[in-house]
Amino acid sequence: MIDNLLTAAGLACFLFGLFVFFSAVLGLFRFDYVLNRMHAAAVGDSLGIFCVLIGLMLLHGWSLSAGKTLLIFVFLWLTSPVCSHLVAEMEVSTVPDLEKECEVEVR
Amino acid sequence: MIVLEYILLVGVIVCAIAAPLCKRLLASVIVYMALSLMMAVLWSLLQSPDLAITEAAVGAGVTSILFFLTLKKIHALKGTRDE
Amino acid sequence: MSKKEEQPDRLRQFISWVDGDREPKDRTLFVMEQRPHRDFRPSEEEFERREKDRLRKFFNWYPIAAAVICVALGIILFTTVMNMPGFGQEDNPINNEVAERYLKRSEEETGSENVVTAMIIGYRGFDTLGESCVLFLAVSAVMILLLRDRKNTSEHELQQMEREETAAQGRSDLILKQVAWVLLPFIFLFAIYVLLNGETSPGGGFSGGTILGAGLILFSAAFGHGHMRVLMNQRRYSAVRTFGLLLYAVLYGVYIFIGANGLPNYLTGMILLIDLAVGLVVACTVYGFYALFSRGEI
Repeated sequence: MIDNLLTAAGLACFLFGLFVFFSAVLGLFRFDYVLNRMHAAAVGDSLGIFCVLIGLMLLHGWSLSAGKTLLIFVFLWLTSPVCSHLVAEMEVSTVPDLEKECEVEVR
Repeated sequence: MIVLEYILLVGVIVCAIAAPLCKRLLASVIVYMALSLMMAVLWSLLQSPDLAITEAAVGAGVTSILFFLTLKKIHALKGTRDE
Repeated sequence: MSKKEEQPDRLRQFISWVDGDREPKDRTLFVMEQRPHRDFRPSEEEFERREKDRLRKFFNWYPIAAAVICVALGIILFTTVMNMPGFGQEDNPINNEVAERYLKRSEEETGSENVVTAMIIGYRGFDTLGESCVLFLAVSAVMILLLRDRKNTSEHELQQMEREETAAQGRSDLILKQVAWVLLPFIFLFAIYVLLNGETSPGGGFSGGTILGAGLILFSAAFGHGHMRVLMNQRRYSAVRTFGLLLYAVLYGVYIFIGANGLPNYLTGMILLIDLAVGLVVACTVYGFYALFSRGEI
């Protein structure tokens, strides 16, 4: 019973992660400006990685490789947002008039 | 597994053809990086993890950094031309 | 000119040819005089137009020639691959006694569980020594081209560099710094693990060295050049690089000298040391390329 539940939860997580990845790729193609595209890619990446890896861990059961998967997940959650942040900062600092390209919210 | 191998092989061939045909140098470099990543996965599917580690580190990481630095040096990147 | 005079003339010609003159001196004058005088010289515009025409012709046939060469190469490679024996079949020519011996006896002969490492460091270590030399020479060549010193840097360039550096200092990113601070120890730990564990698991000198070099690049990009200089200046860099190659050469020389086979017990750590040497050379190469390309100094 517990096994079946775990498998179902893992499959659900995995499929939801794949859906998130799919929508991220769709956003990457549909949006027209760098920052919008990056928003789709980075956000989708983080959530998709989380769901897929959690799903894999649930499907595989607790073992050493599940621990390694957890480490990969931590590494990706540390690095991927930083990369996106740096790219976005570069884009903002090199484009002379950002207002033309997209909406800018001033705080 | 064999399906994954075929998908990766097709991807490698498409990337290899697309890399020299890209108009922008930056796009070429990024396509080349994708090719390296797929090659790394292929190496590990062919059971040579030694090569896979090196390919992932050199091809996708260091070579791309060197290409980006070269593009910056020859002012082919956006925002590096000194006005 | 009579026949008698021709012979010594030829001889003299030959002697002057050996001496390096293309033609005997008296004759040169004669030839120069006889050449028709060229007074037609195209004007600048005409010249430019011709150049453009030639360039356009070149670009017309260049893609065609490239495509033809690519297709020909592809056909040659495909026929070669088609004629190769199938992947992983038993009666392939590569499955001979050499491979068998590598697989069976590499552990007792070189002291390394990982057959790949045993081959690239032990059996074919000379090959790897050549590769390390290529990396060493590559960094030296890039240094010759790109290294900045007092003689080839003007005041203006120096000032511009300083301005850029202060701008980079002021703009340095807090998020990147914090994450790099968290991640760098683990990256270096992993690099050292891959480097030293090449005997028993996938990895070894090349992969470990590259990861080490990538970690150095991350450190240098996150914390700036000033902090990197504390860790590694040019003298230290050259010393490490040369030490790696020399260590390899000496160790492999010893290895060949004692027979390259059946190591005595006190030398089983040699694979580890050679891996370390290769790793040092590769890490220095990777980091050196980055530093020279981005700043022009180590």
